[in-house]
Amino acid sequence: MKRSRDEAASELFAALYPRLAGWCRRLVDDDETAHEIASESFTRLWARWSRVEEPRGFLYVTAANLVRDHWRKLERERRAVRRATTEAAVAPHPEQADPSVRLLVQSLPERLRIPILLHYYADMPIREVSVLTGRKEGTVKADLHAARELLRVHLRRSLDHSH
Amino acid sequence: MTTRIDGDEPDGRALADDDPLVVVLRPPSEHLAPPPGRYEAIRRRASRRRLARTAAGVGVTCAVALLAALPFTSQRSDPPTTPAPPLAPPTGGRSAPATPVPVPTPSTGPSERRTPSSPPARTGPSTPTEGSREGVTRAPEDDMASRPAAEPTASPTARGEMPQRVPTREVAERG
Repeated sequence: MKRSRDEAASELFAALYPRLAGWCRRLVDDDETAHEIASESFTRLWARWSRVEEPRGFLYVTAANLVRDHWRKLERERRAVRRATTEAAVAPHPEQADPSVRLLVQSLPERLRIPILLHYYADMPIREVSVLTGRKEGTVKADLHAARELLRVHLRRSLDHSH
Repeated sequence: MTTRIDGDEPDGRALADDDPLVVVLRPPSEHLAPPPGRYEAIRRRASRRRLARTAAGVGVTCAVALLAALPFTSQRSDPPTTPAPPLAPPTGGRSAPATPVPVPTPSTGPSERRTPSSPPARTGPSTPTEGSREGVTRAPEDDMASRPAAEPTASPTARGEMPQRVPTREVAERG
């Protein structure tokens, strides 16, 4: 029993870790942080291994939350630096993370973010997303559509600002 | 705004090739291989966390059980203290009349009735409580014989209002 569980965990790790860490790498600034976030997601998964029905979805949602925490922490640090150095304007932190993906996690409310993460990144079909989130399939489709519309608006706005 | 629900696409991915969202929603192409030993480290950390959570759960359960049991234990400990009848009058109770003695005898059973009646007459001098009780009930000769001589000097000053004790002491001193 324990061996089969260990094997399942090992297989899951081999299949999902590189992908999850790669996705995190698009959101954060360096490889080390991406590994930390992916590792923490797996740790949380295995700490409650018996209770998680859909590990893939759990991993992506957890990683997205951790990425948001990481951004908040960075923002606090930047503000503290800005407050400390009054005379020199601190140059904005170079954004190495993929801004479009960052937009996805940053601009969407949680209700819309989770279906997008599960469907597009965790590769879950709508039926599975519906089961996992406890929403009807039609509701999931409507949420995905609303999320895409919102993303388009944000994307257009960010493009206008850059030009 | 007309809301178009993705009913026509089987998987809900209604993105055209020129849609800017394709860039955002494309599956992650970049893969990061785990550093060596990462799997074992994560497993160890997860098991430690599970243990800590279990320990915390057990601790909380014990605390709740203890709090729930506390009222019962306190109730149980209360009753023995409340029905304790008042014992003999204070140490200067020699001067008190023999009224407290009849009170316990009718209320208690026959086994208890025996204890105050016969044995204290002989064993009385050994303990101060019994001696004081005897000083009230028994004959003054026994009592005065067992008492040290210094003791009576204090009581007349303190209990000067009680006239009965003074003559008995005088008799004892004379004897």
